[in-house]
Amino acid sequence: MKNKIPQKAGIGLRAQHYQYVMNNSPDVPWFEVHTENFFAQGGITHHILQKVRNDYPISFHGVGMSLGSLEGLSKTHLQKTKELVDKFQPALVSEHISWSEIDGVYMNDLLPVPYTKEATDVLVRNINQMQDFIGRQILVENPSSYLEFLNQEMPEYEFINTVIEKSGCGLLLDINNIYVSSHNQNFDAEQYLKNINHSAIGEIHLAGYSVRNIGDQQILIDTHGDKVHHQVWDLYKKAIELFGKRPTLIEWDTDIPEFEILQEEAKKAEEILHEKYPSSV
Amino acid sequence: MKNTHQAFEKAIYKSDSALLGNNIKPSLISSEERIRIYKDNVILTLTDTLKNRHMAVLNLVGEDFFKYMANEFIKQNPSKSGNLDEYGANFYEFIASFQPAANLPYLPDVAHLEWLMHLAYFASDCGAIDKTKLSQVPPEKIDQIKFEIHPSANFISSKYPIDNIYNFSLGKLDGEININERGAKILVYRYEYEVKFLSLTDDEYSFLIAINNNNNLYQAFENTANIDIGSAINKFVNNGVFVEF
Repeated sequence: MKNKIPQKAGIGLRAQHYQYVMNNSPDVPWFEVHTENFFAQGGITHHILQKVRNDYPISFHGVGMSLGSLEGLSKTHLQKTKELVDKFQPALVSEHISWSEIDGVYMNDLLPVPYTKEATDVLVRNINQMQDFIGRQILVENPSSYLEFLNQEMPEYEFINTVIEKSGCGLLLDINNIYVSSHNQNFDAEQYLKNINHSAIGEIHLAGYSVRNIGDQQILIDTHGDKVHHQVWDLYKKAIELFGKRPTLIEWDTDIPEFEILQEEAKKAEEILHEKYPSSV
Repeated sequence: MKNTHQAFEKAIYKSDSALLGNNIKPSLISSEERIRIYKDNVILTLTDTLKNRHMAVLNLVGEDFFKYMANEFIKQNPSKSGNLDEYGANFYEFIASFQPAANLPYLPDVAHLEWLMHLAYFASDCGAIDKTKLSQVPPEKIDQIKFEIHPSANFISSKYPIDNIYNFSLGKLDGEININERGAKILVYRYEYEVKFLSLTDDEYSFLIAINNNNNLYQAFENTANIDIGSAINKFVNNGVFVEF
């Protein structure tokens, strides 16, 4: 069983394509799955994941841990994650810089964390709790955001760098999220790329956004429902020029197209990696 | 930070974004519009979650009514877990008390059936019964056998023919259904990787409930006069309902 994510372009595997992948064993360097999609005690999902795990390196990407929760992490969520990690031994485990729970009520989304000293402490405590519990390092993903808090004390990259430094976690850098947030909050995406901790980046995400018109203004929504936009490809090129090749993932979560479309998107990423680093790909 | 989190909860589940708006940097796009994106995302996620596991209910009431019903449910039943598999356990109870759906009296039971199918999909795995070992049980000891039922199994009883209504709503059954024609007693379970349900006679239902309550064959048959022992055992062994003894 392969157990290392290559520095190539993998694909986020969703239920719509389980059967296709099982039947065709497509030429894909690695897959990433949402951890919570396999929280079942048994049944078909575990069978599928085992088959995929036998044939490909895999990464677990959680969406429900709520690392920004004030009162620590859910023991049940931690336990289920640990059981899956122990059973399937993914090459990478990642989660989000976000929160979704307060006083036992969940808003099942990736809600924004204020970039304050208090929030770094909360994040670091929770990341450490998760890393200790599952017994390995995790990567955390930079969020896409639709607002900026008034009490923000530092730019996002500084917040993330601090969290990484204090917790020892790695970074899953989502280039689409940087682009979306930079548009919505009016910051400089290239400056962000230059200042983020390069050595901590263990994986890159690419996805498509959608545009919502509000009056004469536009806000970008991180829908994962489209091809990667050319502005995001441009930013991706700059990113790998800055810090080198990294395992890169194509994510698509709404209006999911035929598997071949995802392969074409992954191929574009591979071409950029090859163009920038011809000898090593 | 706690205040911000509580303000988010108010904005998303109680449609009151005033408090949260006070902590958002003013811009050309109003804070209310920015907050609405998060609210819409959460409501859409929860609505889709309910929809995906209640396709029969969706087909029976149509997209618009389902969305309306789901919205009302979500307002009264915020999610309590980061694992969406758990969301909607009481949706069928909500439907039973949802006045606008009162003219579809079978709807709560169809929703309940779908929830049990959802549970079966995620239930533990289990090996098959050893038929050779079963065939070697001496005749005088058959009465004492205690069968174990598949861990995914659940029972549902309805005043309406919800098995036919379910199949009809998903296009698996043609024709007309008289909803007052009969009731239904159903076992929902998973056979290997496929979620199934078996429509049961009243006697089969009582028999399986008794087995499920840890009774041996003799005890289970005591109150089920019209059941044929041999064919009942064959039916539940061959369909993968009995998994151990």
